[in-house]
Amino acid sequence: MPANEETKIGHTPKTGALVAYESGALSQRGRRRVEKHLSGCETCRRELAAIQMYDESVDVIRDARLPRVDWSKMELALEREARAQIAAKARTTRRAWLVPAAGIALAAAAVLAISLWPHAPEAPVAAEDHAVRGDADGEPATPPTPERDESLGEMAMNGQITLVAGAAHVTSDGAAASAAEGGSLGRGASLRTDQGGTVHAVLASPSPAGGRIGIALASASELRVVSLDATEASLALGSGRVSVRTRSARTVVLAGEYRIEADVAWFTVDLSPSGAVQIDVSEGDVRVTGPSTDRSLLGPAQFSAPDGAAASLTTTDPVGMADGYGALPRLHVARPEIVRWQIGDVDVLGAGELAMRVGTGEISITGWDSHEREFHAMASVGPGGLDLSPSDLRPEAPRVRVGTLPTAVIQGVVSSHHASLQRCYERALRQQSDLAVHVEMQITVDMTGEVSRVRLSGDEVPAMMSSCLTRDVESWTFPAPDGGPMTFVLPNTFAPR
Amino acid sequence: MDPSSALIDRAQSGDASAFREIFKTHRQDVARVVYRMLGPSADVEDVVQEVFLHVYRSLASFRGESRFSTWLYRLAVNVTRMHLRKGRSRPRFADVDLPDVASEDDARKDDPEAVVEQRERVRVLYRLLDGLGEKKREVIVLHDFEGMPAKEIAELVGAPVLTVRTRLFYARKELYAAIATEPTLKGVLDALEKSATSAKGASAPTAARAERVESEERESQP
Repeated sequence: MPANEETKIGHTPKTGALVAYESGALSQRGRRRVEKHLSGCETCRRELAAIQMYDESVDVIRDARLPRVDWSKMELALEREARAQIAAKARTTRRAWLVPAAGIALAAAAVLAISLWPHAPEAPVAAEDHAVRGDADGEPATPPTPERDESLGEMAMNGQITLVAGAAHVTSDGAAASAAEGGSLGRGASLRTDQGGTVHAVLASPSPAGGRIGIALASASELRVVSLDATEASLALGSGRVSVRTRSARTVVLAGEYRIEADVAWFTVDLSPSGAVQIDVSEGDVRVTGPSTDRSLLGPAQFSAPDGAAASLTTTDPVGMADGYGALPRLHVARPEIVRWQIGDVDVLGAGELAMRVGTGEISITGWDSHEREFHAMASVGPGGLDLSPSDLRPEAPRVRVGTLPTAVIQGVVSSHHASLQRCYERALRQQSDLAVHVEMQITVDMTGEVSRVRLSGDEVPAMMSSCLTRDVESWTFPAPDGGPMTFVLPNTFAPR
Repeated sequence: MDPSSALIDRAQSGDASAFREIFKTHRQDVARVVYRMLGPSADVEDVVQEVFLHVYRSLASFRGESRFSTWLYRLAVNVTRMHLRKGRSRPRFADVDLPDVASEDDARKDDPEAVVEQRERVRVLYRLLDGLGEKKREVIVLHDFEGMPAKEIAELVGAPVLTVRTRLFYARKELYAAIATEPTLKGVLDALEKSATSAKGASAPTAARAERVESEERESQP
């Protein structure tokens, strides 16, 4: 360790600055500043080496040839699958025609000899035949329906609220209250979120092998737990949007005139005030039944009714599905202006505050206000949980206004340095006599008029020439731009005379 | 219009040759994504086949609301994610032959020791990547390894672009910290530190870094 080494306990390296340094994006002055810090910071030198190793490895990964794949082996299995799908389609098409045909036969028997073929009624959307959706070996492609275990008859699933962000309410046995993390959610209970609120809950069997259903209710939505037994839950979406992840438990979501049913799946249902229903299935198999609809959606897939214009919906992963979630320490964060949070891996909308469970150790907490301004804290969560106060969340630096410089002023400075740029080229020309390149220099002038950053793009330029051009431009001085730092692009073509 | 749409129409109306064509056209892309997500693993073929079985089964529900390639990537990512979840309890990189990591024209191919070392580093990197949360792992693979823009990743994973960028930043940060403290990389990191100290200046950015910096700047344009 050098003599002047200051080993900073708990010092966190500034990754952004190190990445900028490593990628050559800093001005000479910036580089010097980072180098000075590096000379006394062992942790930062280590992190810089890690960044370099990572970048080199990414290059290797990107350049890697794919392992040899024997396509012929899978062609056979896929050919069988294609045939099965085509046969299934043919069957459903035939069935669509058989329905009116059968109707005619019955009508003929009743009213005797009406032999005219009526207008074929619109073919109903045929239900997909689950029996044919496996591969040719008879392996079912869709997850099997969980077997009902009668011994669990008495052990109905319990509901628990696992995350609350912004304002959310729960109504249970006719009594309304604010939804709180850890609160219970039983049969007949309703969840409601205000604008900017989110609530997550998990319905889980007390048996470790039992089923589990995660619910993430979006902002301005309402959901009621209609029924809850050992292996099945029925939920009625009154309005808004809910994401559901279900594992070994049948979940039925009733939305308007539609019934959405799944055993192992992750999907989102949206019910608009006009009664339109949209479904986005991210994973697994979901069955949708409703007016003239009975179909299976295998994720990723979308469905919309009645207009049919389905768009993909943002599907939220309900928090709290992991075993032992309830035993984790509780995190509570609050800051009035925040409208969206990212806690570790969890993204959630929620105005003002958020409560959930997290693992012990360091966690990254980020929030954004309605202007997308970022607030951040790295916090350490102990076994007793953490209550983070508003002042712990530090806002990012205010955005700097972009400044301006008159074109004539820029041209004046550039033309006074034309000869030195040309010299960089001529030196490179000595190494490569036919060198002809077009280079675009993106130049950033800081508030004082000094060049703070130069980036070259365009043709590939010999390293010697590019560092000469960069060094030269970094030494230029402009008048201070009006209003803040500014960036412009200077195109240059260098060719032998 | 998506160039695949006529092909999809044909497959949806029961044309067997269209299924074959979809497989032939997209298999290389799917294999690449699967391979990069799995890392050096013997399961690439199985997962690619699984992806296409899902493609064939789900094609009827594809309505063209998103580009076919986005839909396909999303499916490939989902199937690979499921595969990774299933395999979490068993060791992943035991006794697996790593593919060639150096390209043909790479000077390093003449140095077998360097190639072996590189492979080992990639293997360790994937192991450390396994320590990251699923979402962070995916964003690293898709953005840094696969070179996919944040906007496309956002569409793929169903999250806002800003979330993808933030997730990427913290994923890299976590990974750098894991690399910095990984005992098996000590020698490599010591050497890199030493060379950085003697060079006294930023080393030339790697190709991936230069490209990433550029693409991130492009993406951040309004």
